Amino acid sequence: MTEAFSPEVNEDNPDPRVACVLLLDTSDSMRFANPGEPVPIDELNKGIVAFKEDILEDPLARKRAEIMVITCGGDVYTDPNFVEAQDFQPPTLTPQGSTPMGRALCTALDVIEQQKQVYKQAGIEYYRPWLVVMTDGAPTDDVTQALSRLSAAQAKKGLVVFPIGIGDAADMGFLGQLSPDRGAVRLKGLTSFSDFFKWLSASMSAVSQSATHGADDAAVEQRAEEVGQVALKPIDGWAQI
Amino acid sequence: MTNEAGWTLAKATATGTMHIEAGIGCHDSVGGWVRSDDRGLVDAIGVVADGAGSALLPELGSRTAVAYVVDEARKARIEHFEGGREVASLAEVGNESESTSHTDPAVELVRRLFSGARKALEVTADEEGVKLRDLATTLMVAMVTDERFVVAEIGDGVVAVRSSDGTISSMISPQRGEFANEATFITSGAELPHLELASRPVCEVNAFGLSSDGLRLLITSNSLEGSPYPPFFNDVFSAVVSGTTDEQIAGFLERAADRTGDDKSLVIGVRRAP
Repeated sequence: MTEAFSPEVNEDNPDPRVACVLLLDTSDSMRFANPGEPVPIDELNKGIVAFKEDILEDPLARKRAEIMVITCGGDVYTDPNFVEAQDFQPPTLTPQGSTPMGRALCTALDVIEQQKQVYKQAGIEYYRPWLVVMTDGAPTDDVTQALSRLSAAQAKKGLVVFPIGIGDAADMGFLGQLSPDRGAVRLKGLTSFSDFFKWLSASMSAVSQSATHGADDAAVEQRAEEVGQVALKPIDGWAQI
Repeated sequence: MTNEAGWTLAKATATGTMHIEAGIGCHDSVGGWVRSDDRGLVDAIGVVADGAGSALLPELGSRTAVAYVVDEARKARIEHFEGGREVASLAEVGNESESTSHTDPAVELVRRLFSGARKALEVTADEEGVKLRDLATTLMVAMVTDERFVVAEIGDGVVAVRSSDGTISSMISPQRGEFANEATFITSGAELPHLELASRPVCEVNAFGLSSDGLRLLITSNSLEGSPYPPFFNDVFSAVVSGTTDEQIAGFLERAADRTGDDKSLVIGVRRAP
């Protein structure tokens, strides 16, 4: 029996990465609960913990998914770096102030573009980055520039955007503008945060197992056409359809 | 296969795991030969083509392109080219500029093979009642004559060329269009896109390898730059010279944990030491 041919291959080419920005509304209203209902910010904090616990179970996604939190409450706060999901520390978010969503969205677009450059310089292929946007109200600053930049970025297939409304006061009209192709959905209820974040973790797993990574946006799009867009689990567990 | 000029060629392909799961068949095609008589300009040629997954008939596209190149290269004779065997002074390692007129018959032949392959796809598209883009495919060619070695590509496959001093490089850069589908298939655009091409005196080259992008994470040192991983190619070159068969190489491709799920192909040419 002939010996199997086994040339030495490069084991060290780095894992491709999916950058995921969680843009979270931490404005004052997130502290208020209707009687008998949970406090939104508490549920959001618990949801993020559920995300971390869930993604740790997947050896591929825990490394390939890279997370950054941007909070929008009073001011815009950004994590210093993207962090591999396995090293990501769930923050304890506290509500304050207004909702400068325009500025937060522009910041999100900036950090995503910068991260693509980081990947390119490090010789790392990447998957199309994700931007998750969660808000319980309406923006309190000017969003014109943010909307126009988001529209251009999605037209170039530079990222995917998931706009999600929290509670009855969420401005679904505004959220729908963030991703006209996909549309916005509302969380079923305040208890759905954990279900959403587990869905997000499963989505990161699906992306991490796919071959839709490339050296730049054009290559990513081409591979997505080759192998098909990543199939995500249904959202009806956590979304109001 | 091996010929008097001392070249041995091996070729193999394996369907990607993602393709198997989706039931869509292999879109890569490989081809090549070494010349066994003393007629003809070309001593050896290797070809890899990767049909676009988004196209309607990718296997037909890549197969047609490969078949055209291997058939036409066999027929090429030195007297078909202006300037005969004159070699222009620009013929050093490095990329050729398309606007430079070049009397080197090997380079001219490779250019004609690419434009001819596109025309062959146009004819096939007509016959099948489909559009040219339905047969979209990349194309890579490595060619040896008694004077020149030429490598050329439209697409993003991996190229490895070993020089007589033992160093392995790609000689050409993978194409990175700014926008999706920019000039990465021979069918893109209104006419043949820019061809990445380089040539050097054949005495300076003793082995080459071509691969589609499915293996890139395993066989490059940096998958973005496409720089070939020397230990892999040295292993493969030695194996081919010492008799490793196409089937054994195909076995390796099937087993390889490529992390892309894409089709995997290798065409290897090695000159045996005299």
